[in-house]
Amino acid sequence: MANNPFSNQTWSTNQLMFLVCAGLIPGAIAQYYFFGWGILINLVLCCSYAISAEALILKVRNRPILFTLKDNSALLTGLLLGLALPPLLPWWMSFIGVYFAIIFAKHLYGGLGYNPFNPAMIGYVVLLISFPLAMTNWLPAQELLILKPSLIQSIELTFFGISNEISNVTDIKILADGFTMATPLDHIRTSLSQGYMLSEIQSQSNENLSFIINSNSWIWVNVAYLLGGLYLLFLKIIRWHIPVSIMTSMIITSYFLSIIDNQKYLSASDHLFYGATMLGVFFIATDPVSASTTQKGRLLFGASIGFTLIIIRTFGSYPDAFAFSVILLNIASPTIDHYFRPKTYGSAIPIKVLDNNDE
Amino acid sequence: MKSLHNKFTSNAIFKFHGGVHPTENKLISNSQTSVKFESDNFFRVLVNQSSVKKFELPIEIIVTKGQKVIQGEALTSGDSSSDYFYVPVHSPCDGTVLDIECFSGDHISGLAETTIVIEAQKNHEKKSRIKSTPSVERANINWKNESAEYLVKKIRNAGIVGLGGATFPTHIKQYIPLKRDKQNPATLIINAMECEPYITCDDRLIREQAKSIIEGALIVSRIVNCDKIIFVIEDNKPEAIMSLQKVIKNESKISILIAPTKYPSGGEKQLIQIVTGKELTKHQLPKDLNILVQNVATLFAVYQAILFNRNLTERLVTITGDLVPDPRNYWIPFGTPISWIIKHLNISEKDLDIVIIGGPLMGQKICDFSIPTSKKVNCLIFNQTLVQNEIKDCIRCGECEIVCPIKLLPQQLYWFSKSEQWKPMQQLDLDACIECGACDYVCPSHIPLVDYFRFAKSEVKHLLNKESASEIAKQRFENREKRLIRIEQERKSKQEKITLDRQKASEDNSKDPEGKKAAILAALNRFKSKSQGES
Amino acid sequence: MFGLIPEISPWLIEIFQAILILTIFAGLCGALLGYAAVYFKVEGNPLVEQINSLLPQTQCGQCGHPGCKPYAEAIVNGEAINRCPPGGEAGIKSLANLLELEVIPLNDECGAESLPRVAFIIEEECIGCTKCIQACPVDAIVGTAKQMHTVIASECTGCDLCVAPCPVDCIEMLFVETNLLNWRQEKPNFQSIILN
Repeated sequence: MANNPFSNQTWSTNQLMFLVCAGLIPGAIAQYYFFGWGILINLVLCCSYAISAEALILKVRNRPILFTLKDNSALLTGLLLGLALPPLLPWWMSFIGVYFAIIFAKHLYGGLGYNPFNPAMIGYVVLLISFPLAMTNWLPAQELLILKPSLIQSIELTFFGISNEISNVTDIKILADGFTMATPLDHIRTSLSQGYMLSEIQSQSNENLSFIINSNSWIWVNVAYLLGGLYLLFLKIIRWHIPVSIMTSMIITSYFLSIIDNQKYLSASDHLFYGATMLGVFFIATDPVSASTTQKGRLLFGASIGFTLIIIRTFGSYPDAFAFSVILLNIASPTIDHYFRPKTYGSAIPIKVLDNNDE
Repeated sequence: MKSLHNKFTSNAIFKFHGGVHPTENKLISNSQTSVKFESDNFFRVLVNQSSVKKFELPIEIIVTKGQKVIQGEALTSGDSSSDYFYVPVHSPCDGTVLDIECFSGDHISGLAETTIVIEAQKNHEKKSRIKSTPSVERANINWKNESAEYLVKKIRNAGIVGLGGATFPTHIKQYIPLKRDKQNPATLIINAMECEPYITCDDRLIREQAKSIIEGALIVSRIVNCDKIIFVIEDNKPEAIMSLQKVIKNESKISILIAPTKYPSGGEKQLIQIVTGKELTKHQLPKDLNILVQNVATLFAVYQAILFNRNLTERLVTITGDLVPDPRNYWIPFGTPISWIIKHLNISEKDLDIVIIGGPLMGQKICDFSIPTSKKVNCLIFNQTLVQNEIKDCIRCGECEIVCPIKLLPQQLYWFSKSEQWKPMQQLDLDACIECGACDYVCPSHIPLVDYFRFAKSEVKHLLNKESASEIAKQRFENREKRLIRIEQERKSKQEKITLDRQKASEDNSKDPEGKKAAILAALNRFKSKSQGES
Repeated sequence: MFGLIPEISPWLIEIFQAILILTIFAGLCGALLGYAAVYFKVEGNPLVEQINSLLPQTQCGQCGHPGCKPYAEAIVNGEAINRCPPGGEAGIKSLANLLELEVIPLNDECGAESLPRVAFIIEEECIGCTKCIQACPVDAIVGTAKQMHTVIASECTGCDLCVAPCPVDCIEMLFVETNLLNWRQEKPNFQSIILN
């Protein structure tokens, strides 16, 4: 039986996962405010998919369903995917993503605690690679749109792809001034590839109000996630090592890149506040199961994620690459753990080790 | 506090890694004075109450069934015991030895141990070590003039073991005087930390018997010849600190170190780290750093043994928990069955599922209440069992590593223990684990980590034993093979020699027929004399 | 003189060059290997020693071989690794690990895994015939002709070989008593707590 039924006054797994879900709320609200009903629909859909997927696979595996669902990890995966996927994504794509994440990336490895990769990120990457067009179809800020889809219209768009007045999602993206808008990172990337310099892009943006509003919405969303993450840090649900190391290495890498050529490479604050950075830093990279476990190892883990993220964003083919950097480092975390063990009390003089037994 | 802060008090400057801060629950039992426990007329004394009982020690019981004994009389031999590690046990009361039998002991396995059952005389409660005043029965001993060997012998014969819960034989710890060098002065560290929740017996003992403890400390410092004495105490015991400060005003050798409250700062390794900042390596003992650590209750027992010739028959025990109507510290003689404590203190047995011996983090949980108290029982917790925490899968959060005072990786040890891979566990320093339970305390999935580690340690020990046994068996087998081969060869060579001799003799005889006849005659004569000799 | 050598086309020369280079290379490698085979030769078969050190050394013969070393040699020659009951499952696992074979269950024909046992001679019935002494592979029985025989329990491996030769059947195999020295803690089983 458990060693101490009396004096356990720390968070239990159920509470931990639930509080991480709670920390996502500020960011979710910000995303809803700036980007409309699509986010909420995605959240509801993905959460229900996640819970149903988990219940299904638990039934198949003959595990206690309610007991396992209560640990809220499926809910968390659903929430993360719901926030990471673009709004108004077709319902069957979210279905594939979430079901793949829960069944293949989590339960086929053994369930909670056994998965080497972050399930939400695996789901995201599967969708990104299979449906690149739909997955990069981000909406611009609500206030810029001519046709703002209402709740009913958003639901119709998600499920049927068509609504009255709106023939497809891409049409929404046409703005008042005739531009089609993408995420700030996307826009900067395409402009850079067309040969513009950063200062030109900046001044272009400053002249165009739509660009400013769009960039600011993303900044606010990131600030909201940052607040949620700080709240988790304060409650000691996550530890400081991973977030701080990711942000530090992002700042250092982008600083060095901008020294080399500050017209081609984004500054640190841009990297930190555009895209899904803060969501990833506080909620995705800190997933305890797939991250490194030793404290020193976590520093290297986070630093590598930050570095890889900037490299892929700058030199790779994706504008926002948090999922890829996290998955790459998940592969490396057992090795990091192996080499970054803390030094035991006293010196580690080995005592007689069993020679003949299995390793 | 500040007004009494004298120059001998200082704050600890070193820390150890990790540690947790569970709610202390000490106010339940530390506000009332300690009282004597009214015992039953029935005692069951375990014959082996020190931590070395896990090794096979030959124990000589010197009382027989039906023999009358007095309080403090030795039931097993100390001095003449063939094993120096053994610490004798004594009768807790005047009475008669009823029986010597095997009964389930207080080891975690529940295996039976030899116990001596004593029935007390009717009025045995009259004699109490607390009620009598010191001046009446104090023996005329000036310990300063006695030799260290004499004092150690007396401590052993008094049955004194470490009373902090570990019950290591005190005379073994004190046997060799401490060395000293520039970096490590010979130091006696008095452990008054009592870091585990619920336990308050050391706190009360200091408040009530500070002077005796200090004198006990001086005796021990004389035995091991140390330069200074450091009294280390946690900052959640202000009254005890005040009592101490009053007593040591005139002693220059002794200083008080106040350490921040953290579990497990009372462990020997952590204590040494707090005081000196140094870590003991795997093969080092505290005496390698010229340090001796003793618990306050042990020092009180030493004081009683040397100055009053009182053998160790009782100790201060904290009786606490939400099922106890009057939680406080009691002087309970060893051998009192826990069922009598439950009955006498009106603890409602129907709500009671398990009793914890020791504290909630490191203590032992028992369901069989007939087992008796012994020297290791420093606290008994009677709590209504709360809802059993459900055990889930490990989510690899790493909290266990953050709190481990030995800087191990409990999570990795857990995974290896679950999959029964012993070699990686040894490489991760499994044996350095002090089983403090801090990792258990913080685990969000409520995994019983310390149970897994104990299981692993037991399996490793078992496999090492099996290995050495098979090595010996192989050696014996090979020796036997060699012996058999040797015998065979000797037999063969002897046979060959006889054949050769015979051949040679027949050759000689064939060349020399006269000699042959003489040889036959000689043989016939030999035969005749032989048969004549027989008949 | 050159007139006597027929004209060789260039691609033939290339083929000859290639063959020559490869032959020289192969020759060098072969020479190196031969040198290594002679200079670094190890006496005996170290694998047999390694396998033998994993076997429990009871010398009981339940595997069908007269002792543990012969069984180790048989394993090197392809014998199955699941024939040793005293080694049990743990033994099969460690052998499989060493030899990189699959873990197979214990062969029932050879015996069953049981708790450790030692032999015990009932002294009232012993006739002093020394047959058991000759049978014991580790010399764990003390005694001589017409004198009392007794088993040294700490040396007995529980191999059962002494039970059969005894003409009066005075040897029994007793289970080793669990005491504080050899008590093994059970593995914490929390699956049942979840499913209950």
